[in-house]
Parts: sequence; structure tokens; C-alpha cells
Amino acid sequence: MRIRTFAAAVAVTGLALAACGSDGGGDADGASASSGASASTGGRANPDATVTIGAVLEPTSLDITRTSGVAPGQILLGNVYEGLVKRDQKGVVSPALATSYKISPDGRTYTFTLADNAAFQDGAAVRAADVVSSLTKVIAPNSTNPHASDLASISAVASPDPHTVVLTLKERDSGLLFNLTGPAGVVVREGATGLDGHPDGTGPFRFDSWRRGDSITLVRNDAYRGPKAKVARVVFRYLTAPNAQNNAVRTGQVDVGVISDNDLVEAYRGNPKFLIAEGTTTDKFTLAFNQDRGPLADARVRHAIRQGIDKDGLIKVLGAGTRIGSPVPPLDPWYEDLTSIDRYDPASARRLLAQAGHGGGLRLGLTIPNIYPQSIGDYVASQLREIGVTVDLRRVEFPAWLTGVYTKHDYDLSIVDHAEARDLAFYVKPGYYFGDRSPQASDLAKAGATAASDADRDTALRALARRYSEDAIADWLLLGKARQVARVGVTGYPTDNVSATYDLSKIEVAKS
Amino acid sequence: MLGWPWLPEWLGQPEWLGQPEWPERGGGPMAVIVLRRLGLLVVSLFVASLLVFALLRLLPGDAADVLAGTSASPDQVLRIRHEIGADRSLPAQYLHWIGGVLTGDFGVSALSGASVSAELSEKLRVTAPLVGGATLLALAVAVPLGILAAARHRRASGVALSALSQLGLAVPAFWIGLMLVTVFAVDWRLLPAGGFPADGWADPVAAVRALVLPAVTLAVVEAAVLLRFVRSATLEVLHADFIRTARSKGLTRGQALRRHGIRNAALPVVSMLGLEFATLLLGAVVVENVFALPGLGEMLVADIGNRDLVKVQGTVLLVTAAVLVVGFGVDLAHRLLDPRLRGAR
Repeated sequence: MRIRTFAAAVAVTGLALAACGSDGGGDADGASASSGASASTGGRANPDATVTIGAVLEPTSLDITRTSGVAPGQILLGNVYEGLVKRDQKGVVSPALATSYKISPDGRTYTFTLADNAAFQDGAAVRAADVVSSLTKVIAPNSTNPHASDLASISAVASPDPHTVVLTLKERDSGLLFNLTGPAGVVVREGATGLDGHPDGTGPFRFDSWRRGDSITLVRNDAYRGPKAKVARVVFRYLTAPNAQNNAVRTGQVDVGVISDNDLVEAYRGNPKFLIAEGTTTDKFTLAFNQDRGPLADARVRHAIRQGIDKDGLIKVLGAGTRIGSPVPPLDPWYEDLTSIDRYDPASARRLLAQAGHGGGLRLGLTIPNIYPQSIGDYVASQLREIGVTVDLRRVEFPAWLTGVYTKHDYDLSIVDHAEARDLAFYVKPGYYFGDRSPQASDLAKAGATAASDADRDTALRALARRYSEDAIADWLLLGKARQVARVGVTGYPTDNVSATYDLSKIEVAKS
Repeated sequence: MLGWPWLPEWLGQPEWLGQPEWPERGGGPMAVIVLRRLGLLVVSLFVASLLVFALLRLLPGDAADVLAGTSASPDQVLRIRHEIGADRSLPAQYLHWIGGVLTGDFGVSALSGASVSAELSEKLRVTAPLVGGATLLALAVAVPLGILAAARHRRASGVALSALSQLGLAVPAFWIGLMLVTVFAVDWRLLPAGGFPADGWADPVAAVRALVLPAVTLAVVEAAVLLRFVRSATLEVLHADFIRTARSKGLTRGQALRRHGIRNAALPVVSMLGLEFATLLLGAVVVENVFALPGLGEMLVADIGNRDLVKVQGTVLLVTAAVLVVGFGVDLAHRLLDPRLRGAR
């Protein structure tokens, strides 16, 4: 019987830290910082401080059990809510409400031991029954939790005693622990209602207030069982317009802000009052091909389009980003550099189109939600024009994209940011708006999910990603980069994957 | 105002140009007129509610799609649609909504389940002072300058004022906003760059400071429009017979204008103000987005993007009602300003 406890997991975290430099360290991975930052204020922190963070995407609801997307999780995961396990900004899993777990040899039974001093915000202890009811609700047949598919492998949740929770799986699931760190895995009080207005969790922060359209305020949970947060209040201010965000940073209305526009970021370089921190994301800007109809059913056309777009040029236009050749970001264990497949080669692209019978030109529709920078669609359209593909650009509202493209599959080309972490298996789902519907692909996805070891999992998923790329089910234009500008004196803010989780536990403000 | 009384009655005439002074043609007492106008207001609101409801249903996508996002299964989308009641027939949805509105309950947000009435009243605390402040600012600038521009319409100063108002009309509001922020907030640090205090009006000074730049932005364009109206209305009055008569009695031009002209010139300006109110509310949408103000306009844009139709309906109906009520008020103001209208329908 294989027993894995969190002692091992913590050691792995430590290694990751040593290898990757700062994690959630706040300040700047060496490569990206314009000037060095201290990882902490060195004991001069002000415990009564309020930190204001400029964010972009405001949640539509704080009821994390019925809201899709990453916005509620960004502020609540790990800060207000906890799951049995949590992940750091680089995706490494570590303990949270559970102190240890055992996995049975067949990988189908997970036994979690709960922390005995965990409590909700009014002081009520977390019981195994709360965990059971939370997870049972997610996997119920009539579940309306949009993240339910994350836990689809669980068949039963039970608690043999008040400190133990047992998950029984339909089959092995190598992604289960990671998925339990996400919004599907949060533990809410049994019978809790009104979670939109009053998120009630067990984390180092308590929810204080939400001024819709403006800001969400969290305050330190002084009764937290672990290390206490280092600031008294955190305010997330939502500033959608890049200019408003920039002005708020510049005038000190926010301490840390997200600034993606290149010109705006450059203006801070060399300014001793500010630090620029760059981090990676899981934002995969994906040019999806509709293989079910028209010319894109022909693999030659899909390859031609991939070869006709110079991704480095797009990254230059946007000012930041990383080239990826598949939906796997470099931080995932099964990452492999696939950028050499379908390299930029307009001559070859034109040849492929001619072979496919489109030498005289081709006309395709491109649907893009209007929340993304206009330059992405314009760039792709102008690149494709060079190889003889005329693009009819349609910018639509996101709900219209959801209905037209995602649900009805009424499109030729579509660009969307697939922001979810570790979403490789999405693209073999039957009925997904694009993907690889071959049995080989779903076998690989299944082999990855049910792998008995990490090595087996990585091998299968690496092969799956390669297959996606070689079959050209889509083109991955770039992986987004998150750029934050912070006032000097604020440290410990996370830099990586900040749109899915934003770990506030290490943020400090120097005494002024 | 020469000539109007001799036009055939069936042609009608714009009310603000004045009705014939003589016969009371069965208009009835003021109370009846007010009641009749109120009835019209209610019918208009009912028609507006139908239109708003129906037109919003033409938008592609709904709140269930947004709630479900890109990871839920099609079955789940159906369940979510059922849960938020978006799978009921349209007449049923309309009746449910309008029934609530009649009792002052605007329903709940499909996305968050929060009460729409509560949110509307919170947003109004930002938008109402913003629009009100901008109107007052615009009036304070436009009325004196407009009269001045008319009085000096042949002199350089009058022409300069006229040109200035033309410029105010031509420049987009959001650009003015951006410039004001750059100068007053970023460079000089005199006022906040945007946002509204988290505790609302608990600190009135902070709240007013937050609204200064947005209100000025909104007022610039408004003042330009009004200035032109005040100017042309005053010019028209200046050439009217009664001013000539007043002058012939020995009054100076200024005296004649102050004692007899301004009241007459006010009529078209009040009408214009009523019409411009709708434009101001529209401008608030832009200005609130530029200044990240948590007001009605900013909320409306976000809600449309999320297909939170119950909230959108409530907001649009509220704004429509405000415009209609202001129109009603303008109508009454007319009758008060112009005794000749009191008997008219």
C-alpha cells in the first residue's frame, strides 16, 4: 500500500521553491524585475495596514459554488475558503483543511485526516460532515456547480469518524488532488445559504464587504489556526479600463495593479517608487478551428493557418507573452516544447492551401469576444491575408460567443483565452466546440487521468499534447504574461497565475 | 411671437412658442391637466416596460450561459436555466417581473441572487448627485454666458463665446475626462483619479471630491449645448416687439432684457433642459466608465455584458421613468413660467 503524507508534499514544495526562485514571493522573478525587491519588509511590517490591489475582472457573484470562471476564486480561494488541499501560485499541492491523506494501492480510495482546530468564521469547528456535504453537492446528479466536472471521478464521499473523510473514485484520477484545490473543492458549512453576500470560509481572511462595481474588502481572520496574515485589510478594487488602472497605481489609490499595456508599463521602468513584477499565467489564447464543417475539416488548411501566423510578431504587438505550441504551459509537469511544429512559414502555408484546392483564395469567419484586445484579431486577420485567406472578423459580446460558438458550434475560426489550469482533457470531450474526437486521443486522456504514477501520467499527457499540435486541432497564439506594478514598500504579493488564485497570506506593508 | 395667433388651430404649435393669449378653449382647470398628463405618463411607462423587456430578449446568449461558463455540461446549463427561471415562457417572465415592479420589487439578479432594488438605490447615490451636479454646473455656466453672448453678439467677445461653445460640442466627453484626470489627478494630485469612497457618503467631502472631475466632464458638453440655446433664445427675445416697446419707454437694453426678456427666453431653455436630461444620463454611462465610478451607467454596461436581464430591465425602466418624470416636470414648469399656457391642454 502506498502511503503519501503531506510531509512528502511539503518537501516537494520546498524543492520547487529552491528551483524556481521566489514563489508568490512578491517581487519579481529575477529575470523580469527592473530592480531588485526584498522578499519582506525585514521585520518593519505594519500589522494594521490596508493593502489595495487593483484587479480587472470583478466576480458576477461571490457564491463560488454556482459561478463559473476564475474571478470568485481569485480572491476567495485560499484566502477566505479552503479545500482539503491547496495549491501555491506555481500549482504545487500542499495541506489545507486536511493534515494528511492516504491513497489505496488501486488509487480509488483517498482517506483524508482533518485538522482538528479548523473553524469557520464564527468559531464553529469544521466537521467532517461539512466536507462531506460540500463535496456531495458538487458531484450530485442534479448539481449546478459549473466546476462539477473537476470532481467527476468521485463516486462517493463518506466520513467514518469526525476527523476522517473518505473519497471513493470510479477509477484512478491523477488530477484529483489538483482539482480539489480549485473552486470545486472548497468546503462550506453544511446547509450554508446566501453565499453570494456572505462567503463563510475557514481561511486566513474573512469576507468584509462588497461594493458591487467597485471593490471587495477582506479583513484578517485573527482566529485563523495557521500563521496569521500580515496586514489587517485587503481591498480588491476592480478597474476595467487600463487607463483607470494605470492612474490608480500612479496616484497611489492602489498599492499593486495589473497593467498589461506595454507603453503604460514602460513608463514605470526606472522609477524608484515602483516595482514591475512579471509572472506566468495559464491564459492560453487559442485560435480554435471548426473541423466539423467547411474547409477546416481539411488538416492541410489547418496547418497552413498555423504556419501563416507569426506568433513572435503577435507577442511584440501585445507587448508580452510566451510562445507555446500546445495547450500546456511550461509550469505543468508534462510540458514539452512543441513550438517547432508548424513553424512560421508563409510560403509553405500557401503551398498547403494550394494543395487543398484553395490556391485562388479562401474566405473564413473569425469570431472573437470583445473583451480581448482588438489587436489580436486584427493581427491574425492581416497575417492570414498574406497567405490568401480573407477573414471576416466578428467581435461579439462574451455571452453571444458562448451561445453561437461554444454551444451551437456556429463558427469557422474563434479566438478565446482558455484560462483554466490543466485543461488538456477538455479537448477530447464529446460535443466540445473544437478538439480531437479520435479514439486515440480519448485513450491518451484516459491513460493520463488514470495513470498509476506521475511518470506514466506525464508520458500520456505529453503524447496527447503532441497529438493536438500535430493534428492542428487549434493554434495556440500565446500564453499570457501577468504584469503588476507595485508601490515600493509593499512586498509578498503573488506574481504567477494571479488570475486563478491570489495568495494574500504573505503580503506585507512597510511602516512608513 | 408675431403671427402665431393667426395660424389655423388644427395646425397646432410648439407649446413653448406660446399659445394665443385669449380664449380659454376648454382646457379645464390645472388639476385636470395634471391628471391627464399623469395618465399619459403611466401609459408611456407601461409601453416602455414592454419594449425594454422584448428588445432585451433579442440579445444572443443568456445568464445561464454566463453562469455555466466553459466547463459545465449542456445538461447543467439546462438545470441552471431552470433554476434562474429563464426557461419559463416570455409572458410568464414579463408578468412576474412587472408584478414585482408594481409593488416596488425589481426582482433579483440572475447571476448573484442579490436584490435589484437595493443595488439600484446604492448606484443612484452616485449617479443622481453626478447628473444633478453636472446639470447645475452646466446651468451656472451656460445661462450667464449665453445671455452675454447674445447681448454682445456683434462684438468679438460674443463671437468668441459662441466659438467656444461650438468647441465644447465637438470634443468627446471621454477625452475631456482623460485630460482632466491627467492634469488634476495625476500631475497635480488635487483630486482623486477615479472611484468613489468605499463608505459612500459617510465622508461627504471625500464623496464630493470624487464627483468633481466626472461632473465637470459631463457638464462641459452640456454647458456648450445649453449656452447655444440660451444665446439663440435671448437673441430672439431681443428682437421681439415687447423689448422694442420697453426700450421706447426709456429702458436701456440691459434693463429691458432683465425685466422682460429673461423670463420669456427661459421657456425654450427649460424645454431643452428636459430633453437634455436623457442625454446627460447617457453621458453618465461613458463618464462613469472613464472614472471607474460605481454608478448606474457602469452597472448597466456590466450587466448587459453578463446578460443579467432582470437587472438591465430594472435599470432601463428606472432611467426611462426618470426621463418621463422630468418631461412631466418641464411641462408643469412651463405652465408656471408662462401664464398664457395655464388654460391650454
